[in-house]
Amino acid sequence: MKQFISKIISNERIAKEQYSMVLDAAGMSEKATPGQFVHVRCGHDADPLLRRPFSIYRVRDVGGQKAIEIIYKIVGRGTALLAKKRPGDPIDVLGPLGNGFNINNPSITFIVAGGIGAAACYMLAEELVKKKCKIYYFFGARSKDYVICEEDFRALGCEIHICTDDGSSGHKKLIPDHLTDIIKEIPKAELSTAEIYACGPMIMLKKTAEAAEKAKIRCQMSLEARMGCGVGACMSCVVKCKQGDSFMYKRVCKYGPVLNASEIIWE
Amino acid sequence: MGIDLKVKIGKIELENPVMVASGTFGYGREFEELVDVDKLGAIVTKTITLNPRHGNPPPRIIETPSGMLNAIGIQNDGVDDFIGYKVSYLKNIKVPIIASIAGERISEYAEVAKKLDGVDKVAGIELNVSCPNMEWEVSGGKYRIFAQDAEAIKKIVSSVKAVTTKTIITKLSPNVTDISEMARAAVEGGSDAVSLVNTFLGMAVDTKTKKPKIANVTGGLSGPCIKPLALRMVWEVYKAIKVPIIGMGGIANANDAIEFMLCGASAVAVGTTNFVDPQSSMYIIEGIARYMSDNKIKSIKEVVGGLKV
Ligand SMILES: Cc1cc2nc3c(=O)[nH]c(=O)nc-3n(C[C@H](O)[C@H](O)[C@H](O)COP(=O)(O)OP(=O)(O)OC[C@H]3O[C@@H](n4cnc5c(N)ncnc54)[C@H](O)[C@@H]3O)c2cc1C
Ligand SMILES: Cc1cc2nc3c(=O)[nH]c(=O)nc-3n(C[C@H](O)[C@H](O)[C@H](O)COP(=O)(O)O)c2cc1C
Repeated sequence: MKQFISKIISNERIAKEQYSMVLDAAGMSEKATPGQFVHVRCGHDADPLLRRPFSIYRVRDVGGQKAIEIIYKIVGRGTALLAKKRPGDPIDVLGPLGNGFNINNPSITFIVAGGIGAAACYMLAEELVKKKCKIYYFFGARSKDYVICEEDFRALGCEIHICTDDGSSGHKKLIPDHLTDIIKEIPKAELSTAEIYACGPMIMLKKTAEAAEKAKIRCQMSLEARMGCGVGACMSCVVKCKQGDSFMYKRVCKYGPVLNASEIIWE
Repeated sequence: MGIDLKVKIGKIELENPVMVASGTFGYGREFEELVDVDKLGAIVTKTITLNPRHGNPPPRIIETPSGMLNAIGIQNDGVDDFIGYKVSYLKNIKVPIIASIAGERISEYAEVAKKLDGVDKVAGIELNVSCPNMEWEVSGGKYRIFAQDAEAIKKIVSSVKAVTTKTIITKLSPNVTDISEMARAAVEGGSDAVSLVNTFLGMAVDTKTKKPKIANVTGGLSGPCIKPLALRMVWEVYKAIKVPIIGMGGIANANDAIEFMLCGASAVAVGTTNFVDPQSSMYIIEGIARYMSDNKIKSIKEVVGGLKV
């Protein structure tokens, strides 16, 4: 983990309300692993004050230089400021942070991405490709206009399943339901070493956790929570987790952002 | 020209007056890769209690204009874990460590302080009587925070004084009618110094859902937006007591820190700004030194209370 002033290489709209930003990552001290994130200052004075966390979508080589790409959606003041930034602008970055996906040796894998949640999944898919896993990639969005990164995942060789709320692209279905239907078609024996990975809105994650439990497939998910420091000091970004007969508030920035679905207490 | 940044808080000698505030710097380790912690004046660790605490349900924070609200609820692993595990890392840090403690009952402060008395690495104890996110039993099933009760403050400080020879700092809440009364109570109890301010109670509401933006409903406001309020309180306390003051509340740069010192703070603490720019305390130390050399000030002590009114 390191704090460094990066330079924006590009910042382009990729779909409705959604952007891709490529950042010079020469100042990053270590290699980012799938599921890790960066904590970025969107402004430069007291308002907006806090940094904003974004998943590292992928690490790239741009003209011989290490760069990272983030994919973000405009939802408020911080992300609106990000969208106004131009190539060459400096940007204060802290990262890589957090504990990402635990990549075991699965045979079949299911990646479940809701909207901008796809941002946490690309490096994961790259890693799974290296391990020669079969990857089913499920992506859900409001409508066709919001579909992002489809080609990137297709290029990796993932089997793509798109769902939209209005059916304007792919199936008119919730992704966790579609996931359940696809799992049913796969012989039980093949599923014993399968693994589900998910990132997206809380409600989608909850339904995915239920689907995983029913199908008895291990499931890891990347969570979002309002964050202060991003390095485990302020105890802000907690999520309720099981601990023996009791519970514990675990810090998303430190234990996570990726947690086992089975340890999360959904409320 | 040699510049003397040294200050003394109780028995603690600080190389410079810039500390990091409780709850914003964890137990030091969290920032080890980002900040040269050995350059700080001191580290105040996250408040610990006798028993571990779960803390409040999330969401625990929300950003507000030039600030943030928090209601963490003092989530911590308890004093025994602190002594057993956290201190082993803190031992590698060269600068003084001040352990912030709180109790759910008045008697717990002394219990925790007694345990810490034998820990050499802990140079001082900060009594967090002021966390606005917990309510404490005062008497007869009545709940209020100790910080709003001069009698309770005096009792807490004197009970801790009886069990430790370490420097005692009492951290005051701004959520009171007259903060100098609370500062006086702390001094009467035997406090070697006071620190202020903790966060201001506040709220934020989501108009769409009509729900409070943090689960605890109310939270403590911190960050640059509270600086003018905090400054006023430091100035008032400075006029009321003789012991050193550690000033904090929205400090984001050296100029902010100097304002606090001019108003009477012997040292300052950086809080929320650690989240925004972990290096800020380093810049503040450098900036104070620059201010002194630019203004031909030899000792930082000349700055303290130098407000011209
Ligand atoms: C580990 C992690 C990875 C993330 N990765 C991405 C990503 O790759 N792409 C992307 O578009 N978004 C991602 N998010 C969500 C992103 O951080 C928020 O959308 C962003 O902080 C919103 O800032 P804002 O100022 O535009 O919104 P505002 O609503 O104005 O923000 C107000 C405050 O709430 C916080 N906040 C608001 N929404 C969220 C949220 N969903 N999660 C956490 N904090 C929030 C903000 O950080 C800020 O402190 C991630 C969140 C986490 C925790
Ligand atoms: C997330 C957060 C957690 C905090 N936790 C504690 C705590 O455990 N004990 C304490 O005495 N103060 C705590 N504080 C208060 C700070 O130490 C400080 O008094 C206050 O935030 C004002 O300073 P600032 O505006 O520079 O942050 C906390 C503040 C924040 C923002």
